[in-house]
Amino acid sequence: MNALLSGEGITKHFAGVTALSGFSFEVPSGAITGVIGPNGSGKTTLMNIITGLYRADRGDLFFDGRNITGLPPHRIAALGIARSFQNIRLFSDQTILENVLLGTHLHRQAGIADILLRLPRLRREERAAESFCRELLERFELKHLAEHPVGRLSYGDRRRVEIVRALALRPRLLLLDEPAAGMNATEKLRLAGLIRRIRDERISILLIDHDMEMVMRLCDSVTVLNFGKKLASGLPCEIQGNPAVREAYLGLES
Amino acid sequence: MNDLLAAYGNLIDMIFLNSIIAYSVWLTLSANMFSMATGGFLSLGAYTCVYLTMQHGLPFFAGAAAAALAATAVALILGLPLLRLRGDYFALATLAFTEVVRVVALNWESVTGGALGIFNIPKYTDTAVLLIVFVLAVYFCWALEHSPEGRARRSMRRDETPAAAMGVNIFTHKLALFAASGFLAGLAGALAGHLNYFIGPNDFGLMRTIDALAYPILGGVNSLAGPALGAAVFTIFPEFLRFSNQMREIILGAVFVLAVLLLPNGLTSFRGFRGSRRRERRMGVREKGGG
Amino acid sequence: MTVLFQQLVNGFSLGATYAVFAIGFTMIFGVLNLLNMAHGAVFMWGAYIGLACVADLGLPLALAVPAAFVFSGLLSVSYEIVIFGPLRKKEAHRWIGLIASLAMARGLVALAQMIFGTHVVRYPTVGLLSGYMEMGGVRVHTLQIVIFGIAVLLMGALAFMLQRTRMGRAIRTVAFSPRVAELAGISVRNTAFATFFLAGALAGVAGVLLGLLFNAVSPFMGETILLKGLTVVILGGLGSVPGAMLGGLLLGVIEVFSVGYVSSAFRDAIGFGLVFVILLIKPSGLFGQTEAARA
Repeated sequence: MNALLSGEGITKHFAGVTALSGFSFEVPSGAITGVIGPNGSGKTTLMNIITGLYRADRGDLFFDGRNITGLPPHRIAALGIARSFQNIRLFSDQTILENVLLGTHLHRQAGIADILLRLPRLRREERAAESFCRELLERFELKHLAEHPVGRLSYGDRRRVEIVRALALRPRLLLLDEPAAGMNATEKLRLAGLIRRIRDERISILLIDHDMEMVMRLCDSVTVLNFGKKLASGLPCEIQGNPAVREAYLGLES
Repeated sequence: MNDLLAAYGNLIDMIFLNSIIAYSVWLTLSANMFSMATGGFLSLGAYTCVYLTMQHGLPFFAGAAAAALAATAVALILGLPLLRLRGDYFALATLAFTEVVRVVALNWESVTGGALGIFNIPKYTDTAVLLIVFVLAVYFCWALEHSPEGRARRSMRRDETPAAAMGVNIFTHKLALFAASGFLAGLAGALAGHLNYFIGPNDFGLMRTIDALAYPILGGVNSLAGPALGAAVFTIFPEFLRFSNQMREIILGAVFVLAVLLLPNGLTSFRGFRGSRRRERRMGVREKGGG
Repeated sequence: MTVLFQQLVNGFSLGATYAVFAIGFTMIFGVLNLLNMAHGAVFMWGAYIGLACVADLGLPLALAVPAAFVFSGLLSVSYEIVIFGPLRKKEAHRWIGLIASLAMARGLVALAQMIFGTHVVRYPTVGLLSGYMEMGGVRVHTLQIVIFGIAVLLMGALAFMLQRTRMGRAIRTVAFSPRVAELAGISVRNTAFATFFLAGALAGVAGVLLGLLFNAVSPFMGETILLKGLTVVILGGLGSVPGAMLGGLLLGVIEVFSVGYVSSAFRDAIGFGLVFVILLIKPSGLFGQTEAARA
């Protein structure tokens, strides 16, 4: 299998509580992979371990064949893994464009001499980055908001801006942490379209959510987490038919 | 007439000197580091430069360069372990550094003259030198602010987690800014050492550090003009209260308290920090609530 | 061996006063998340009030200590009224409070200089406390016993108050979370007053005790003790009352031993040197919670 990202036996404890125990997963290249599970099943912990915010107590992570266990967040980002946050974390005192521009941070060549002497390379790079970000905003129908401060955006727009900011990193893998949380039906539909478009641009996606409908509609394969353990994994239709999943998860919902 | 000029000349020198120190502090504050190491860096810079010029006959500019580099090196060594500490522990640990430097200065008599300090230091620092360093310091901060590095710094001040997720190396950024702050403070210390014919171990203690922090905080951290403005106001204002040393302290204290109560956002603007205060509190609650 | 015990006795009496001072500092941090840099000024004023009671009014120590307790408590509450309360209402950044409290401290030091003079003043010979007893070569002064006794009594009373009374529960709830406290019908404002009063009162008594121990009171003693207090709370972990108690005793003993075996000139630096080392090994203080335990 051509797994882009895989985890083996990931275990994490918090002060006696086991958030993840021996969890293994695979994110194939070029697909949308879903991880679902009820609240508190360890989804966000998984996300934070992948992005280097937490360190797993046990287990290994591999990205593109390389062991990335325990790398700090900025190194993870440099490898081409970008993320969004469950509780949107945009820089609220900056404009949309400025927020997105931070995504180009890793692609800068200008050094301290360029900055202090304000050499042409600095300005050239800044212009290129700006046009790249404006283009990105245009592709996701946010161009008209480029100069707006984050504070004035609607909730759904903020989600989209955060995803675009992650895309400015030019990632190979995009992690989305409950992107549909708090959205209405129209916004969810629009979001689903957006996520598919990102996949079509050959960016692999790991989608973490407890919203069954969203995951079933979008994902090529799904893994179910419950109490920090893998309950099942397979195609969406298989998962929907799995009695254990129904009992642990769907039964609670309906 | 000459007396008057001399008095004003001295005041102008002090405004420039304090502004340079204010920008040194600003470099740390603007990345959410509440560093109280400024006094230690100033002291280190002053003693290094005076020692080199007076006991080894080095020219002033070489002594000042050595002082700035020494402070930078110490900042790097200090920053490596201390920047891992969370907010208040970092502040207190840097204060501990300033105190250790003071105690060493008090006791290392062969170099520092001990408690008596060093007298008859030749006056090399003049208004022109101060002006040049001041302009360079402002330019440095301005160039940094208007670059991708400035954007990264503003973002990580706001919220470190997403900044790191976007690839900003928080630790390296902070270490570099802390070292730059040490460089400027070391240089300012060298200038201060050759300004008033005398330096003593208590010139660069807790109070000097706090004054230095007060300039940018009262001037406003979100504006590049804030540090200079704060330094100017809080250098000029005490001059009007020269009639009594103790009354001056009391009135200064009172005015200070009034100023922060009426203008908690600084003389220019403090908006960004109010937001982060709210978030900080929210996170604090969550942190404690999680037990 | 005798020397060792002698130094332990000296270290404990010194450390107990550090602990009494630092408890208030750490409480204000733990309950209200504030670094109150004017805590040293309260200590200094307490020392002067105690001295004035004994030297000028001829009162016994048994009255001077409560007088300092009440006066310093009220002075400390004035910080909350003048600085921290209004700043909290304006949601100002906490650095502002730190800077403002230092400004306040400077004003109070200058005021003390105007009223009491800048020189060091001493207690009149206190006949009752100048005695000592010897146990196997170790000389224990009555003064040391009294100081240690008062310190332990105060710390015990505070621990009881925090654990067993309604006010103590309120303080602990606000420390846990101001929002939870408000939901539970606890007034954060009144709790802040109580916290500042207790912290200041303890600092004032610590001022009297240290003034007695060194037989010296000066306007600048507040700055020195503030730095000691910072050392103690880092040793003990910011916000931890038991940590401050242990940290205070530890610092007292370490200082006495360092004077005995190293050099008195560097006594003040040793505490800070220790702070460095400890923060390197345990980034949240010797007895502080670790990062993982909090998450």
